[in-house]
Amino acid sequence: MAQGEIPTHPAAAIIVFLKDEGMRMLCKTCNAEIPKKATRCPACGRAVVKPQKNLYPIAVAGAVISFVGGFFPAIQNSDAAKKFNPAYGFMNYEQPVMWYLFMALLVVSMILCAIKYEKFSIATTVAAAVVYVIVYNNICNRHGAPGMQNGLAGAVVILGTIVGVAGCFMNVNKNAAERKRRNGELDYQYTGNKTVWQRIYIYRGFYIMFLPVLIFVIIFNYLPMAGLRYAFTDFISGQEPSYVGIKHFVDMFGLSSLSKLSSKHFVAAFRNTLILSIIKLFLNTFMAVVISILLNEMFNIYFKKSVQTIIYLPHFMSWVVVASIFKMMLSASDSGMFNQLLMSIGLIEQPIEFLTSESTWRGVYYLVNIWKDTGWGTILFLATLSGISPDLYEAAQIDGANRFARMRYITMPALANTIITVFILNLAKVMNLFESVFVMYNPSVYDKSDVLQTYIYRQSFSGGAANYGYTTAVGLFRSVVGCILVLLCNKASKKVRGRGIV
Amino acid sequence: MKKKVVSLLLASAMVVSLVGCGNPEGSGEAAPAQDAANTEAEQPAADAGETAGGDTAAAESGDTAAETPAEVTKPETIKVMWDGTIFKEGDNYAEDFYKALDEALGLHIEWIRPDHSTYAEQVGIAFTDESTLADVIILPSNYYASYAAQGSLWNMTDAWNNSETANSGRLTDVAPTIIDQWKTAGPDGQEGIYGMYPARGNGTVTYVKAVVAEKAGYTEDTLPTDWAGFQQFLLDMKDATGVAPLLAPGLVNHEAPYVNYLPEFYQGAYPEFYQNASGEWVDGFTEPAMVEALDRLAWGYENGVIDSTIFENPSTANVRDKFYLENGTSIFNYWAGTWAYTIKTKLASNYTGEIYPDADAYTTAWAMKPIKEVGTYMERLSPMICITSSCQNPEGVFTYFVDKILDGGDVQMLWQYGVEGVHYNWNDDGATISGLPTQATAGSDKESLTTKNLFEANLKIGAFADKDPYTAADPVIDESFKLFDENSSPAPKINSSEVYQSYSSDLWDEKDKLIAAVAKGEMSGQEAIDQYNAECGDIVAAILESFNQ
Repeated sequence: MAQGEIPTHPAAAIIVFLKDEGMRMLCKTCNAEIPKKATRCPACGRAVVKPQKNLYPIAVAGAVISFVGGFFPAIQNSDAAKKFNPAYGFMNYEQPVMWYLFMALLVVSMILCAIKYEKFSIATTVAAAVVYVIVYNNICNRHGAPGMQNGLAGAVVILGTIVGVAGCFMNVNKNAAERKRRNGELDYQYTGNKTVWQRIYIYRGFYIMFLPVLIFVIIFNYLPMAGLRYAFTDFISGQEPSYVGIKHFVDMFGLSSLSKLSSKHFVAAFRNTLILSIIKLFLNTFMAVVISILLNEMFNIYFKKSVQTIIYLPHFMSWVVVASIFKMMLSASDSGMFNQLLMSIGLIEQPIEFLTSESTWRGVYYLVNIWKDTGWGTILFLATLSGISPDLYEAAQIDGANRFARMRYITMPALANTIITVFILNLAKVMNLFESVFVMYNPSVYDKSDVLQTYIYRQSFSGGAANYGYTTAVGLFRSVVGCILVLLCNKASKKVRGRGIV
Repeated sequence: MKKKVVSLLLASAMVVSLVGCGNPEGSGEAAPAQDAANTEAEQPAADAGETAGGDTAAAESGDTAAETPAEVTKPETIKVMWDGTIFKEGDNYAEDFYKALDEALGLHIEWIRPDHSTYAEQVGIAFTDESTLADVIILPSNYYASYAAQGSLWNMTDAWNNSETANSGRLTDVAPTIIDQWKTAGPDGQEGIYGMYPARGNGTVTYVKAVVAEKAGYTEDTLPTDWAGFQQFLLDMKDATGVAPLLAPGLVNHEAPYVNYLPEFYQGAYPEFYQNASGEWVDGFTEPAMVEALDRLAWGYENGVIDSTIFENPSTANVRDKFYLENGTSIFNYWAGTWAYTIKTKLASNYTGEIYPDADAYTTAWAMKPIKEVGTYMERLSPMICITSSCQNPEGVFTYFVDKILDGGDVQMLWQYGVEGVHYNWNDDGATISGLPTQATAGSDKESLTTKNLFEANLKIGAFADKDPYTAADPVIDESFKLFDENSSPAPKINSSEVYQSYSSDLWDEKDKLIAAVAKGEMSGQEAIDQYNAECGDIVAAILESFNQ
């Protein structure tokens, strides 16, 4: 489509509109459009200066650290055997308005950083620290007694404040240095003489369209996060939540005599989650690649489509059904088809306990996962393979490359980027393991099969009035690890693909 | 301009939909109740004919002095949360029952009916928000003890002692024993009544496929009476069919009384905290009897008499289904009473004639007396009908709802049998009734008749003012219940405390693993108990300290 031509398709209109008015880089001197990778303005020849890396995320991180500090106890019992209880902090402070004020100030800090007014965030971050100090003094006056010690909150809030303020200063200094360095050169990110607010007004239609999504995300994704505060409470079904500081984390990590057993189960579940997820990920990705390549080599289109359909189907079956099928097949009882077959042909004398033996359970689990999800996993790889130019294969064939050589030197390199992308995207989900394990595990194999989510489930619903505080703490830990994995994946993605996934 | 209008419309639609999502009026809607495969919903119905005739006993509760209640206000609406133990919506005309009950009580009941299979989870969630918690809730027995101990239930000791039901003179002989089981520790540590149930808890008996037992050389009179005999019996049954004869839903049950599905193996062992003869709370899992019980399980698996499916924690439905198959298991332990009849009909419907030529013989299942070492089968504590602490008018709810369940008249008829003309009709004799086809099966080839609503005639603890109109659908119901009644004793009481609540799940995980390990021969019973003591000793000691305070 020619520049300026009025698009007829609504989607095309949006793209053109963005390109024409907002997203292109303009020369600050002559207002000419600058190509993305240009080092000089094509019209006036001024040099394009790329900015240094933005440092305001450090300030945001500081605010987040302080925010987290608000959940920890300001003072607590010094006795580990009592799981450092009682504990006092913002959450059970007699004037909750102070906590809200503390959190509000830090949220404002984050927003200020996000809209590039980071220097003002210094004031709000420090103000939050002042609020903490006031509350801390008050708590000490009210509840300070022999046997009480400082909690984690103080250290975390101080750390957050230092990081937040330092981040702001670094960013402000960087901007000053940047301005000096540019010295009239072109700003790579310069998109016109309009401020953020002016641009928001210009594109208000888009912002209004985005509003429902924003509301949806806030209500269903962010508001529920408020429930994470229960990780610091005893929230027993039928009772009001009561603040207990880090009691549940003491239990999780076995820091008191009574919590050794809980900790043992928690650590085993965490270890199993990582082992099962990561090995499953490797196997599923590997199998999907192999099957994709095999499918790609098929020339009979009807056979290929049939095979694709057949291997896609298990993905749409519920885990309950899949587990039932495999239980029937692999059972060690008389109804176990596979064992009966092996015994009838004389390969074994006693049935193999596929699902109830620690030595075989994981193998069966991986197998079932491969059976169920490999077909679905081939979709992306097949799409990539279909995009490889046939000319490459023809040229290679003329050069005398056999099938294997073509696969090795053309297909595999073409797939590499997709394999890494799929792998990284799935790596971020390794903590989300529940259904597939829940329907297949049993007490005989708890040590090898129990994962964090099944552990949480049993703790929550195994009978009686459950303490949702503890299970929330385990869930919080799982989320934090998941979040770290996502960030690592993002980093890896940037390294490998040149762009992030979040 | 059009774009902006569309944007605004989209935004408005989103906001309206979100407001709709948050409408609290919708949250109390009754969820469709589904099949309650495993628990009390399956509780059998049978009639001993004259069970609740003239012999009655008033409830005695010596803990709290009976006081004359003050003026009680009749509530206009009561919110009730119930599992699948009454007529299910869409399955057996539950709406007709609701309507008739409203009319009979003269108030409106707002029903909350979560799915029966996830009911326990829904209970936990319901108690997290007092503002939406029901006034009346039916609780599984272990939940009952927990919620009573933490003060989430209303203490109805006085109300019960002064109630019309307790003082009606219509309570059955066994009622005092049952009512004594209702007592549990409250938040103050004192025992009280925090819930009631209009019937006994019932229990399980061991059923044996008669045709297989005869093939193995046994008659109903020569069934084993002790453990040694039972061991030989299991081996003989295995030889007769070539397959493992016994299966249960797991090696141990997580609901009290925990060992009811494998009584011959556990015998006197009890894998939970219980009060011994001297009144002291002890951990049954650490006792020598448990070592022997675990070794018996190991013997069972080693000798191929326990189906290996037991390690996969099969559901009770799976266990039943395997028993119904001609080439399936031949011994299993299940509920007494109406289930004896259900087993008979299911055996008949699964009969193919491929192995056993005599169809009539195949449908017979003998209910075994407990072997000598077991002594008596355990009668469980029934689920409890409780009034929650969030109820604004507990006295009114008790008087006008709970106390009416066993009124000996129209309301009891509704709870016991349902609605006349919908669930049953009176017979020509004017003294008995016959069940009508259930909603789910009406008009089909395999019509199933309604036999009961919440509880069955044989198990009720309050008689009708007139004669109970029930007649047993089959003699096996009465026979099975009679055997259970003559050979049962109440299961140990359940206790709860804060420390118990904190660690019971971890303890059960450990017990499950150890029981499975011993049963598979990976360690001995003594090694398992030693490991349990080493890893759980501190917790057990803390729990016992809290119980014995």
